[in-house]
Amino acid sequence: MTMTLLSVSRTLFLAACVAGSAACTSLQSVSVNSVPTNRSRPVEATESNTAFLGIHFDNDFVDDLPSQLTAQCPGGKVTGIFTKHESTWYVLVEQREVRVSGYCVYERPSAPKAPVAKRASATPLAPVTRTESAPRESQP
Amino acid sequence: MTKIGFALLPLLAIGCTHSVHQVSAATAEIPPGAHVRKVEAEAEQHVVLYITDNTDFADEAYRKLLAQCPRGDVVAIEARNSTSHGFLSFDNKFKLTGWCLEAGKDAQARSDAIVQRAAVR
Repeated sequence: MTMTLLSVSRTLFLAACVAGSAACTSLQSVSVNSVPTNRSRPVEATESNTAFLGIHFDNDFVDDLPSQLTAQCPGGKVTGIFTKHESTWYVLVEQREVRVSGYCVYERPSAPKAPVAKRASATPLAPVTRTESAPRESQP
Repeated sequence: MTKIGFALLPLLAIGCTHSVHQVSAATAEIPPGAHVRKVEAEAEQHVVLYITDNTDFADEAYRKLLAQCPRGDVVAIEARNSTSHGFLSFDNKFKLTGWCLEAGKDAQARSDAIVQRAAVR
């Protein structure tokens, strides 16, 4: 009986070691917003932060991400932003990573804004009666 | 043997359970007369003994969603991140739904006219 328990314990320990060395990655959060038609200029930035036993002293590592994105899109607008926050455990060390990607678009400055109808996303969308079209997004 | 059975009981108990970790939704701005259609994408990741080194399933779902709307804006995107548990394993699932806002030929022509009028002024 004792031998069986020891054998099971050893197997579980080995499994834990394999899991630890292979890493346990989990998705913490994802955020998405509207994606533009023009996806010819993708921009991306990633930051990570590692800590022993998962004890992090601040969350400042994400602060540079917005500026990193806008730096890749001078004079334009970064839209369609997809943000993914994941964490990985390597035995006793945790690594947090935030990856942000989006699309750089340029809008025509003289284009007027068309009236828009705001709808909640959960509301079923029926065809809307046309009064005026929105201007197309275009590159400079 | 009974002790081993009791030790494994919690693992069996958490099987066939499901948990939602995150749901996000957004509003949409639909120009009058625009043509919209629903787009949906889902990706999964099977994980055994917690061993995995990536969360690529989220990126996969996002890629699939955008692929369904190559010539339009994807708006009002809803995202759901969930897990379905099994015995010593689980499935991570990521589901995205949204609306593809396509400008039809008529709408496109009218848009061009508006832009041209604005440029003349």
